[in-house]
Amino acid sequence: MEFELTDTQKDIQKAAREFAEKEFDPDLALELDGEGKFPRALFEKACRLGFVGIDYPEEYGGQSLGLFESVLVTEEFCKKDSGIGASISLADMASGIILRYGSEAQKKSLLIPVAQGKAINTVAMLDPFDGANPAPAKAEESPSEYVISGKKTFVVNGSIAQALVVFCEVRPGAAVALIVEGNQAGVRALEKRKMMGLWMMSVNDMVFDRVKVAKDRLLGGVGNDVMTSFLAEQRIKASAQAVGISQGALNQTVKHTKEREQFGRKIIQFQGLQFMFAEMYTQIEAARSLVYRAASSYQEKSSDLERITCAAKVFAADVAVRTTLDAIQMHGGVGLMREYSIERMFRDVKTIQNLIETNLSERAWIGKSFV
Amino acid sequence: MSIQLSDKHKDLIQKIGGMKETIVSRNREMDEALEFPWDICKLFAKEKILGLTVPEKFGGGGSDAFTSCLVIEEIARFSPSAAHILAAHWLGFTPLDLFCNPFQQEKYFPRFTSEIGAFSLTEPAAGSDAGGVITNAERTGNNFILNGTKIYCTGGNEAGVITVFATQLGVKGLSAFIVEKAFPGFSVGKIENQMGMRGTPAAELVLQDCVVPGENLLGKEGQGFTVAMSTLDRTRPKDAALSVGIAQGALDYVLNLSKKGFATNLPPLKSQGIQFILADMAIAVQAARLMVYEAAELIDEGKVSTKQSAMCKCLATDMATKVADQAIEILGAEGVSADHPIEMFIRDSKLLQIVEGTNQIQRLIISRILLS
Repeated sequence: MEFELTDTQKDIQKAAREFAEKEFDPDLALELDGEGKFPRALFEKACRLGFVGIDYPEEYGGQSLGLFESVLVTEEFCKKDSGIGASISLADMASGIILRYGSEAQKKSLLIPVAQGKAINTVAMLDPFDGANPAPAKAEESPSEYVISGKKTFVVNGSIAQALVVFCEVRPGAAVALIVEGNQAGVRALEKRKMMGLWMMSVNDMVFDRVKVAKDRLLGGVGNDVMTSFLAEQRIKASAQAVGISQGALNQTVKHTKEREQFGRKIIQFQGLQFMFAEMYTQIEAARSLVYRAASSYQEKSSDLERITCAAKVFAADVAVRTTLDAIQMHGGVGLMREYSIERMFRDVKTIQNLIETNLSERAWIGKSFV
Repeated sequence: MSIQLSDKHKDLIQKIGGMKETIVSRNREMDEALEFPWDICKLFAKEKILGLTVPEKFGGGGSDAFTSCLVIEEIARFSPSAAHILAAHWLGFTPLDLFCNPFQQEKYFPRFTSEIGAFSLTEPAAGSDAGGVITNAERTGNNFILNGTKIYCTGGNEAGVITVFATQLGVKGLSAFIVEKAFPGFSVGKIENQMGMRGTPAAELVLQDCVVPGENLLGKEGQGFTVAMSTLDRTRPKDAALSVGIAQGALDYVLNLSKKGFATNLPPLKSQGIQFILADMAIAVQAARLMVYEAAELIDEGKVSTKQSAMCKCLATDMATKVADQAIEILGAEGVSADHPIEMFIRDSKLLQIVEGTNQIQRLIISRILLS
């Protein structure tokens, strides 16, 4: 196995880092986050420069690279700003499964607009928490179409996505992934949910009121393959976000402790803090390696894909939570103040850890896979 | 030791239970508005909780450390911010409780049953290092003239009486002063937009030729560091009790919610993996609780232990963040939504790991004692 990135990968990493350093202004980020606004201009720029859709084949507007390269970009973006980075990373959440399972027509119509910065897409997967009214979204099948009725919760960018892939049961135990347009008749995004972090993104419950979906908008087949692939891919993306944010938190904390003086010296001189840095560094490196391994497994469609992606997500997200909490701690009182954006890194990372799939579900999956 | 509750304690807990609904209904507003909740403060005053630790002869409850920890823990279970009002207020009272002369007691103690008190040590260059304080007090005739800027004073924007620490020319160390909001030259500056405990935001205090009467020197000139440290030895267990409350509240919330359904993608509460985690959470909470009440008992027996107070503060506040963190994970996506209070609880608990001496300072204190 190779531990070094290829020259192409290094170039991409460098380009992403330079873009983020130059464009992700901390004051702008704070403003966008405070106002709950999607970083539209930065997203469009990232698309024009080829960062978004880096893993789409050229004929769909991409760079014909892979998830691995997308991970490198996400890491660099999230390192500079957790909110902007995560927002850009999650803006094409459905593209991975469209790439893997989509028909030619579906790929053309859905991927090209995203690569051009003209559209964002998302996935509606989570069912309502309390099984209340409306009920979890289900699809009724007829010879010519599917009809979706019910509710999905926590849909990332639900109110602004042009296209949504909706996972629903068509009959007990059998799921379908249906491509729905955001402005289609019967699709309604409820009021934005107030989340702990990732405030730049809108997270909405969605209600589907007899939404008609033509058969050619079925993504893949009936069954769980599409969902399984989606989850594997999202775990990798979430881990990449987590590693990026962790590194950003570490870097910022080193900077702060080199400047902050107490007891007659810069506080980075205190070994107690140095031990904390040692812990952070070790864990971030371990998480990064695991994420890269998982990204490779996805591209190679390895047989251990589920386990390794679960492990990567669990580990990287936990490392990110611990790292950002410690980053706040090492900043002292300043770490608690919103204007310094350190506490935001923690809130964003905690949201990433739990929004799409939880560490607990992933642990349960790994454990069960040994039975 | 075991935690024995008297009938008086049980009555207090019941009284707090009666206030729960009112206070909980204000939690999210406090969190969003960043406004000091005077209505809750007045409720505490009316229910004789605000002045709980003020001696009875001055109109207070005359309660001991154990009782004040109990009250804080109980309230924190459903509202960390409301509990923090009391913790910060009693932090403001404790230096006076320990060092006031009879004249000062007569003048100020009764005020703590209805007004807010605060404690102001921190400055931009004086966080963990109290030696960095540069606010200066100059003797002029019968008064002291104070000049300087204090930051991160909890309740400082609403407090009527504040203990302020300053240096004095020719005096080694710090001196403590009782400063009233009403004194000329005192003003409140920036109110911090902070991560948690947003019902008690931290305030900047600006002293510009602030005139403080000579009789408001608290303790002796140069005794300020002792005033501060003696205070913190007695207030750290209260922050620890607050943390125990937060953790217990988070655990109880998850357990209560288990009676409703869970989204199908989450391991249900009756899955063994989750059960083990719940057990670990309960163990951590109880272990911390015992340390808190042990430290409180030592204070009440006149045997205040710097080491025990530091240990319980360090353990309990770190524990609360971990427990709240787990509770969020158990709830999954719901856990990171503001529809549930846990995401607020963890933002509140993080603060307690940093205030009244960061947990790194606590470890320093503890290890110094161990190695001495």
